[in-house]
Amino acid sequence: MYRLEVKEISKNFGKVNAVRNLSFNCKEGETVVLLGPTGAGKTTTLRCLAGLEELNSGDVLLDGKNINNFSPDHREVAMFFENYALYPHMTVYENMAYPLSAPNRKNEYNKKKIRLRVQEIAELLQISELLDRKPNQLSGGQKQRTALGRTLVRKPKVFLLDEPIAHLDAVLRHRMRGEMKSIFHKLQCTVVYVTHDYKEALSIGDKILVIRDGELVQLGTADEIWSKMNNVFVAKLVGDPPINIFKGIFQPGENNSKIELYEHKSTINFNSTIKKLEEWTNKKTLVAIRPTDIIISTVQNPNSIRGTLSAIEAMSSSFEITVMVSNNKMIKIKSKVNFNNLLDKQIWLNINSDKIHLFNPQNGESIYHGRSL
Amino acid sequence: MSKVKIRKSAKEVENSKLKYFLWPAIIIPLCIGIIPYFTGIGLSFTNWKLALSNIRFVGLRNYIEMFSNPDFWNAAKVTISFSGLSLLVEIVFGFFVGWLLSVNLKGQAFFRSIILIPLMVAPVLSALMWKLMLPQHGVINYLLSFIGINAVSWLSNPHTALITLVVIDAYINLPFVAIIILAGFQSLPKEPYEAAAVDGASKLFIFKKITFPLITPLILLALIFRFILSLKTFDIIYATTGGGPGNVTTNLHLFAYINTFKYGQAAKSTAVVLILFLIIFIVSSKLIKRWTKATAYQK
Amino acid sequence: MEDTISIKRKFVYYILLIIVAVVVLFPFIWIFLTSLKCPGDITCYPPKFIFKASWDNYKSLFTKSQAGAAASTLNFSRYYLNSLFVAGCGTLLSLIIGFGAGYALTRAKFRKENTRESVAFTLLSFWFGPELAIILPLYIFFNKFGLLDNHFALILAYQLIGVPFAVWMSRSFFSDVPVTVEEASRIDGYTPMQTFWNITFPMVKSGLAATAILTFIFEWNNFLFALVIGGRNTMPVTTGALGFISYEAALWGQMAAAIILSSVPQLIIAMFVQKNMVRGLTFGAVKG
Repeated sequence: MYRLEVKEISKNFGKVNAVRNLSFNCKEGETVVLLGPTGAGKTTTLRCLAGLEELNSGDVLLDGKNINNFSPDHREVAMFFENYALYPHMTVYENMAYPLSAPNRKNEYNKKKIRLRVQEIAELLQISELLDRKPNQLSGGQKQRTALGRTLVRKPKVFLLDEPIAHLDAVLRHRMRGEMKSIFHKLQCTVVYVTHDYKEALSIGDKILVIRDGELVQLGTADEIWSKMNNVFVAKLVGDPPINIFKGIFQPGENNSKIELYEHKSTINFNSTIKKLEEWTNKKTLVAIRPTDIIISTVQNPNSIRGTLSAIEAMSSSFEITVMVSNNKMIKIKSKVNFNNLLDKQIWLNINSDKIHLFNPQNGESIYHGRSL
Repeated sequence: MSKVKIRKSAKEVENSKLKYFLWPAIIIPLCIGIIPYFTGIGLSFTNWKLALSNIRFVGLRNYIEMFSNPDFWNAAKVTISFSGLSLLVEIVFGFFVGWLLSVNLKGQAFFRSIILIPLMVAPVLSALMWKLMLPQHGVINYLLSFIGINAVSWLSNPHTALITLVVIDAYINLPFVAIIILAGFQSLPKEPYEAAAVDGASKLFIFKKITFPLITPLILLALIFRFILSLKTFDIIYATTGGGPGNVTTNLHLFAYINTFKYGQAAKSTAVVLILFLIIFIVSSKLIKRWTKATAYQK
Repeated sequence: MEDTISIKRKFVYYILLIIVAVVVLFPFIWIFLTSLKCPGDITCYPPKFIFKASWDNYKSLFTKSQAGAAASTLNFSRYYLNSLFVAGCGTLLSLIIGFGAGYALTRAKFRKENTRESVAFTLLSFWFGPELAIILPLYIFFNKFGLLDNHFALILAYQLIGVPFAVWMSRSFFSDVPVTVEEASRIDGYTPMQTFWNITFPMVKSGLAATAILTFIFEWNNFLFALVIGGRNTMPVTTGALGFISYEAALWGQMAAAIILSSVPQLIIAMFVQKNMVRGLTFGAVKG
């Protein structure tokens, strides 16, 4: 039996459909990530699970029990709010102890147990020295950890986290990404995690739901989301620098199929004929390729894309190279090689057919993924 | 087919329970305020006099008589002059005092708390204080004699009574304008001024384009409050001159009171008061719309 | 704005501020001096700034034996107690009704959003309309049921002053509390009522205290309601003070003492609401 089952839930605010027929399941100990841009409906979904918003249709089941009509205080969930929502008139200790001293939990926790538990979690999050401080005496990172502590201090059935590390500075965010995963594992939490940052999603999530405008676009593992995206939206969402997209026309060919990138007067050649793409003969498709999969060459080749290397940015473990091609289009490439001797010079870009993704230009749906993906 | 909800969700039940707290706040003003108010409207169309038991409907007679009554027009004139002058004095000097209190000087806390005093004391009592100081042989005349002004019986002289009341009203209410303006100056954002300094803007430009637009909503707010409250001034006039000498200081509100309790003309007075209410309502609605527009940028 | 003001400028500012302070304080100081004077000193001209002071005026306010025939009807201690009772009970009632309504108005969901503002503005109109529009008919009602000159009727009438103010003020303070903080408490396992007392209330304590104090001051300061609906038994200090000056006698000294005693409590408690004063006086429109 699943710990959490979400069945076709919908929520609208007047004319705005925030969540549309969303469904997913969560096993005990699993972390499910809701990934999507702002306004996608992720926070609304979380609030529906918490009981803060009323569902327009659909069901939410916790351990098989329908909790649609349960008020938030009866749902056995814990929630982390994006704006932390700390109790400003209470100390860090009191903030964390508050959930444990709820009247309906009086039997579980006495004063001593509360103190032990708060100290345990405070130590885990390294805020033990801050227990006597009030929220207005804390830094941003400390507030975040206090809020996290308040969320983790109970032992609810499901943890709901709304952008927990979104407002931390880059260094802290990077560190917390790793820490959160180990904390969830240590405490054996079942988590529904909302974020707009794909890196968080891919590293923390056992299962990822990509959401757009309240609807599910793809449900899959990190690998599936990265390599087997079922929609160009997912492809564009995940990746930094973002995936490069070209317009191409498929030609079946007698021995080898190929794709003509007509805007750039170049071609991508396949090793054989791709039968399943025959219906796309002479039709326009979207061709997507990751920055890491484009090769820069100084050798002229009629099949390559011609461009000028216009900028190089040095990143922590690679170089991000911007190449300007025809129609003033900028292509981004990620490489371990520093090409600064080729700056402002003409170069050729080679694309391997094994690494491309094809999408339907009308609805963005996936048509084909390259063989080596 | 209509949508029938069989069971109310937990949230709806909570919401209903919360709304119960609204009822006392609706019912009590309803009984004490709205019902009498509408009764008053109804009665203004009758021949109701105090102690008259046989009340008959007379249509618009009271209103027509009112408009042809010179005393009514006198009261209207007094209302306009009194409130017009008070508003002018209070807004202009109140702005000045508010600005003065906003300057960063040592000891401002003291002056800022002093200015609150007239706001806390009952207006009636402040008016009585002035009444005590203003007689022919009172301390005000004594002090004025030092600057060469002859003694006048300020409140009993028909030429000076109204002006004197304006002064008293200003004493009581100018602090209100001042602290609103003070709050405005204190909450001015630093950034536009810093940017202007960097751009080398002139003092006049800064005032016209930065300070004034930011302070305007507060001036409007003070104006709205004072306008509404000034038109229905009663306490201080009743306590000092009772509307006199003659009817020189009788404004519409006082006119209605005197008409009711001295002459028993209850229905006619109600008509007067309702006209006053209408004027207040119409003008203040316009002012409030203006204010909402001026503060829209803040949202 | 400018941190460095020239000494000359500072001097001018201080002079102006002192003038303002003197103008504000002078009437009070004069009244206080008057309250310490004997009748002879009060009416002599030129007015005396130096005289022999005595507390007689104050004493006579509280004893039955007062000079003059009219004086025998004056009963200052009764006026004071009336003010305290009516304003006190009135404020208590206004707060209970007003805070609950203010919170509901802030948090409840209405089918039509208009309802929220309609209720709020209708309450506000009681403050902005001429009192007589309501009081004259109210006078008939109370007269019919023999409720004139009745403390409880007056307390009820005072709700027209207190409830709108308490609703608008508390609404302003409650809306400062982020909804998410209350939601967090709900998820932590607390009922709406518990959430209100544990979380919301402590966060608005100072604002509600300021509201209470200002409500009390406004109800204490009221004149017109007391004049029309009140009577000899319920007369508070505001209408009572007028009785010191009549055709029979002008008891300036005692009136001065009465004014001082009636104003001092407000001045003291006003010091406690300074922080929220502007918000209070503008019904929450200016957060000051």
